[in-house]
Amino acid sequence: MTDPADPAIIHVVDDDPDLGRAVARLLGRHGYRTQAFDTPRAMLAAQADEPAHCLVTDVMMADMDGFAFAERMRAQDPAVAIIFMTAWPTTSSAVDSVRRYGGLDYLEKPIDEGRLLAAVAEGARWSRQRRGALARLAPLTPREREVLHCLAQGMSNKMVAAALSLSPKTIEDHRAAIVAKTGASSPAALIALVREASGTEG
Amino acid sequence: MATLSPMSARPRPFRLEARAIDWRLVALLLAYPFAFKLAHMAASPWGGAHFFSLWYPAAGVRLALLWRIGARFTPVLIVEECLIQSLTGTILPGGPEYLNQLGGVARAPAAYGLMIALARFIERRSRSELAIAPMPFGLAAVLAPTLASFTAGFWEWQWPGVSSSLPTQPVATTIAAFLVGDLLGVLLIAPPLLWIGTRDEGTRRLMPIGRGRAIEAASVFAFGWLLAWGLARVEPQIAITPVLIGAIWAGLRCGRLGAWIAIILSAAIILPWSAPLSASATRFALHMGLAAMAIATYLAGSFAEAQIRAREDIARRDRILFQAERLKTLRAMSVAIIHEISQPLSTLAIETRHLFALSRDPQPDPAEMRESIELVDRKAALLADMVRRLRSFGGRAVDEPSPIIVGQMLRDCAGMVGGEARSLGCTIRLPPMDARLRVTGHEIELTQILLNLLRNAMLAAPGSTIEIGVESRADQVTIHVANPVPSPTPDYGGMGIGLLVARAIADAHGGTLTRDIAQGRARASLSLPRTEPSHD
Repeated sequence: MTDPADPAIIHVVDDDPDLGRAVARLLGRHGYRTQAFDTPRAMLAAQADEPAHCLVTDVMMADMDGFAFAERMRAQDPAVAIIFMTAWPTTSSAVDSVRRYGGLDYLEKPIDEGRLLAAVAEGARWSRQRRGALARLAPLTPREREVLHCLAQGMSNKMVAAALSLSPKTIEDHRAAIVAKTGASSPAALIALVREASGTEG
Repeated sequence: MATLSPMSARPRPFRLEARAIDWRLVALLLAYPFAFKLAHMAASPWGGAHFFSLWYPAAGVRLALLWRIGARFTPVLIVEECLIQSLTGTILPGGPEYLNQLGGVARAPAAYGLMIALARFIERRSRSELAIAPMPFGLAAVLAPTLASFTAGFWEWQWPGVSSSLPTQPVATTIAAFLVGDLLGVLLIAPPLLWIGTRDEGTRRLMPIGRGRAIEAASVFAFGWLLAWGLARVEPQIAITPVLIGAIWAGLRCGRLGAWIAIILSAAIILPWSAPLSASATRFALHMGLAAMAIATYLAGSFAEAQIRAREDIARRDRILFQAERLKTLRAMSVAIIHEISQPLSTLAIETRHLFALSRDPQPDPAEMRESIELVDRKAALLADMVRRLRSFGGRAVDEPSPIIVGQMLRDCAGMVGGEARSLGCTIRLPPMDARLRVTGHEIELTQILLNLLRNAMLAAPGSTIEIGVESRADQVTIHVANPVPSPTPDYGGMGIGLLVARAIADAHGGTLTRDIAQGRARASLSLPRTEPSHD
C-alpha cells in the first residue's frame, strides 16, 4: 500500500480531537505517517513545515468549515489530495466537495474503514505523482512552459511556432531544453507529464 | 371528563335484573318512606290556610333519590308515599275522598319522575349548554316542582279534596305557595344529599378554601345579615336582599362548600323567622328570597369550582401542547442530533476494530490497548448521556418542579444545539455563570424555551455569534439570548407558534418572555422567579 521506508504523510483534521486522533491512529496502523489536528489553522501551519500528501478533514467545524479550508489548502499546496468526511451528508455538499473543492472522496460518518483506506491510498499515490511532475516542471522558463503546453495539445513544431509567433528553429531549441530538464523524451511522455502536473491524471 | 358538581354525577344505573341484589338500592328504597315522612312533618310549621307549607324538605329527599337511582323507580316511590301517608293517617283509607287523596299524594312523585326523566333525556341527547353539568340537575330542580305545583293547583281546582275552602281561594296562590315550598325543599336538601351519596371522587372534591378567603367571605356574608337585620324592622319584604349578595359572594369565593354553608345558615335564620309570622306576603317574600338565594348561590359555587377545574384542565392541556412542541423541536433538531451521535459513534467503530486487531496480535501493546479502551469508555458515556438528555426531553413524563441550576441548564441547551450551530456557522457564547444561581420549575419545559430561543436566533442570523447573557436580581433571574439582525430589520411581528408556546411556558412558571430589537441586535429575555416554585 505504501513504501515502509518512505511512508505517505496523512494529516487528519477534526474539531472532535478524539475522532481525529482515532482516524489518524487507524491510518498509522496501515503504514502511513499521520498527524491529527483540532483546527484547520494548526494544520495549515504544519503543512508549511512538512507537506502532507493527503488531508482527511471534517466538513463542519466551528473554526473554519472544511470547504473554505480546502480552498486555502489548494492555494498553498496544489499537490495535496483532500478527502472530506462528514456526519451531516447532503447531496449538494457531496457534489460540491468533488466538483468545486477538488475532493477525492466524501465520506459519511460513521466512517467506512475500507473506503477511507482506499481513498487515502489513491490520494497518496495521486499526490506523489503530482508532486513529482510539478518538481520536474519547476526548472522550466515561462516560455518553455508555453511551448510545452502547446506540444502537450498535440501540435507540431511548426504549428507551435505559428501559434507563438516564433521561428520553428527557436521552438526546436525550447523543445530540446524541455526534454533535457524533464527527461520526457517522447511526445507521449510529455503529454503524460503535463497531465500529471495538472492533476487530471490520477 | 371530570364533572362539575354533585348533580352531574351520572350514577351507574341500578339494575333490577342484575344477578346480585343491589343492597344499597334496597336500603335506599326501604329508608325512603321514613325519610320522606320525617321531612314531610318538618314542613308543618310553615303551613298556611290554603297551602300545605312554604318549605317542603320532603321534595328535596324525593328529588335526590330519583336523581340518584333513576326516574324508572318513580312507581315504587309513588306506592311508598301512598302507603306511608295512609299508614300514618295523613289520608284515611276508606274515607269518602280516599281515592282523590291518593291521587293528591301520587301526583307529586309522578311529576318529579317525569321531569327528571326529561332532564336526563336532555343530558343524554342535547348538544347545547343545557346538557352540561350542573344544568340538567338545575333543570330538574326547577321543572319538577313547577310541574308538581301546577298539577296540584289544577287538580285541587277540579277535584277539591284537601281543603274545602280551596275553591274560594285563587288557584294562583295555591300554585305559588306549593312551588315556593317545593323549590326551597329541593334546593336546600337535594344537593347536600347527593353530595353525600356520590361515589365519584372528582364530584366529591370540594374547592380548597384558604383561611383568608373564608374570613373574607364570612365577613361579607355577616355584613349582609347585619344590613338585613336593620332592614327587617322597616321593610321585612326586601330585608334579605343584602344577604342574597353576601351569599353569592360566598359561593363565588369558596365554591360549593361556601354556598351550602351560606344557604344553610340563611335557611336556619329565615325559616324560624317566617314560621310564626302571620302576614302571608312577608312569608312569601322571605321564602321566595331564600329560594332565589339558594339557586343563585349554588350556581355561583358551581361556577367558581368549574372555573378552577377549567384552569386545571387548561394547565394539563398546556403540558400536552408543550410536549408536542418539544417533539417538533426534536424533529427539527434531528439532523443535528444525528451529527452529535455519529461523531462519537465513528470513534467507537474505529477503536473497537483497533481493539479487535490488537486482540489477534500475539504481543499487543498494553499502553495502546488502554488508550483505546479509555476512549471507548469515554465515548460510550458521552453517548449515554446524550441519549438520556434527549429521552427526557422528548419524553411524555412531566417532571415535578425542582430547583434547577441555571448555568447547567444553559450549558445543556448549548450542547443540544451545538451541531446545528456548527452547520449554520454560528457560535454560541456562554458567559461565566454563578453556579449557585437557581430557579425552580419544570426543567424540560424551560429547556424547551431556551432551545427555541437559541434556534430562532441561529436561524435569524446564520454565521453569527449568539450571545447568552444572565442577569440576576434578588428575586428574579433573566436569561437573554441575543443575535445580530441584518439591517434593514426584518419583520419580527409574528413570533411563531413555537414562541407562543414558549411564552405560555414562561407564564406557567410565573415568568415572562419578551423580545426587543435595539442597535442591530434582537434579544429575547426570559425572566423567572429566582427561588420560589411558580405554581400557586
